[in-house]
Amino acid sequence: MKKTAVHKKGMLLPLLLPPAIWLFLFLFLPYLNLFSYSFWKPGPFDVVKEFTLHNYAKFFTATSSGSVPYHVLIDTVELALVVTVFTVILSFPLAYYLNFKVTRFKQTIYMLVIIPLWVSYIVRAYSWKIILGTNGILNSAFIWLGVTDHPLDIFLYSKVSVIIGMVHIYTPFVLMPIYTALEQIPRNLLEASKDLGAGRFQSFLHVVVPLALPGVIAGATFAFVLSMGDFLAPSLLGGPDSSTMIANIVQQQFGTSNNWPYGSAIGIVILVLVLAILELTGRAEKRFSALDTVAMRK
Amino acid sequence: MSEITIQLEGVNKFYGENHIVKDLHLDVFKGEFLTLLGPSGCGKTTTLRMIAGFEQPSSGKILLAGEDVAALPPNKRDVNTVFQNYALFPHMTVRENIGYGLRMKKTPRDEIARRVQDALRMVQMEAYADRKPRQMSGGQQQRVAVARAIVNNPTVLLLDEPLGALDLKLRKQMQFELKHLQQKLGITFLYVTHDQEEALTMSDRVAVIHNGRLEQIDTPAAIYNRPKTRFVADFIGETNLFKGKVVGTSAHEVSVAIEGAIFRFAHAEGQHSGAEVYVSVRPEAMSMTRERPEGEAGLVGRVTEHVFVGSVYKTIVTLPTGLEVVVVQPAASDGLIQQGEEVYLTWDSARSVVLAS
Repeated sequence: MKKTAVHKKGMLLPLLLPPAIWLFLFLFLPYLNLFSYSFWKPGPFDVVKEFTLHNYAKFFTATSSGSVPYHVLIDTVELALVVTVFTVILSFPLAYYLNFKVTRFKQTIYMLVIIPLWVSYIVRAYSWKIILGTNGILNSAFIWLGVTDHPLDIFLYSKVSVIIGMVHIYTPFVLMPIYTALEQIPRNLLEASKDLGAGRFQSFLHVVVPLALPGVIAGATFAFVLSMGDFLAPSLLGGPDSSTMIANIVQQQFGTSNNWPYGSAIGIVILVLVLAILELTGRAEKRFSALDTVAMRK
Repeated sequence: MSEITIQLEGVNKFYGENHIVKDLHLDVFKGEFLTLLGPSGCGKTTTLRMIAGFEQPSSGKILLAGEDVAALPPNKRDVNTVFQNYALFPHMTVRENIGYGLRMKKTPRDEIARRVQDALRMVQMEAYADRKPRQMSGGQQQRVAVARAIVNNPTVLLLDEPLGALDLKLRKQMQFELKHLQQKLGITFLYVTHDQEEALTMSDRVAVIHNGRLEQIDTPAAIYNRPKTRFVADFIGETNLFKGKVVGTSAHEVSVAIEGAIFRFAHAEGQHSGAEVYVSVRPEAMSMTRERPEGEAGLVGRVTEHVFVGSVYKTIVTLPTGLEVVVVQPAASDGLIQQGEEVYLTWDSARSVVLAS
């Protein structure tokens, strides 16, 4: 290929400079700041800039009431996993159906799933309050159907409502990569599979699923990482205690508890965990990407 | 070669308003190498896909080994396809690709291993067994695609322009390899191509298809030497087509007036006096002289181009009417003709064909 202007060294630097400055100022510096705070001591008005590992120790040891703060992190990981599994379970069949079965309204249905992304997160979370609340649509429907004679309050402000809300919010992020992965499968591979004697299910299992796997991994990573860091869904839809997630704890430290060093330490722990997960899934994606188009993205 | 493996009976295929395959009758014999030849869009690939089961005929019957396969999906038909772009599974190794069909049929593990090994040997790809398709060249992928199909020992192997993506040299080599493989295995090959040279080189018989209609089916030599329609004469190899009119018929010959001269040809059936016809003469059946040939009618023209193309000389002679005639002569006949000279053209009437227009 002919060398374009961009390839020349002289042009490269000015092009890269703005994003580099941006990343340095708004990503690298804040993280550096967070990292420093996590080793300082909390003071009555401002932090005391003395080195300590106490913030990390506090996170991993039991409090006087007997609960261990990092257990919330484990609960959060569990919750994020549940959300991930449900989003994939919802997205894969839909993406498959759109790619292989629908012909006329393919784009329309796809857009119907994507459009909610343009609606504010808070609006979408609140809409679940309207649906799941004591006088919500779900309860009204149950009463009307005679399933129950009084409104049930088990739907809202529980782990279930948090999961429902997050599954709804993160499904588009999972659908998109899976849809793209399925779209990129050359159709003659499915014909070849059929030609070689594979039935519909066998083709699905041996050709479609393995080739869609990188998309599934990418989507699952989105869902997992995003729901791990979510604090709005649990604070809007979650209950008083059982459905608190790790991000809420962090938020508390920077807010009501006013313990920035402790909040920073938790933040760093989450960051390390998420980076480790991204590295693992990134490797898995490469490992399973068999199609040239996918491989080229490396 | 008498047992019929594939039988098409009045097969039609419509896509909406488009009539893609028109009333196709075709018998493919057991163990033969039959090629469907035609320009792109002539319906040859559609025909192949109907036999494989990827398309359903709009009407007509397809019989495989005597059995009507209308109700059978592709995975239940005893045919395998070598696809145009190979369609190898990118996430599987060569070995896994080749073993796929056997695995789907729940063949015992050790038998799969043995048969895959045999197939690998057959296409000389043993050294690449553990590679993924994208780590191989086009020619190697091609071999794997063939192995993946033949390992299942199908009644018929369908090949859809399998060499189309390869460069010329490799294509020539693969043509012979495929032909030898077919002879060795004795499997019926139904081959689709738009490359007439490929069709003539490899096939036992060639079926020329044009606009969804079967124009002629015969051996390569017969197709080349005795084309039955104007399209076949024009499509297969290079030919000179002269427009003429039948002026007399007898038991053995037919006289045709071409460009004001009368020529006699071996009797062409169904040509009556007064009929408009085309006479097809291959360039190598043409000859030219400076002197008027004795006792023979000849056309007069002027040499407008005279080029050496390796083994032969190719000369273009333009007739007064503007028609350009191609003459091919052995390179040894150098020095006879100069550009701009006036020459007399004659032809071997035994190697010429009179065709209805």
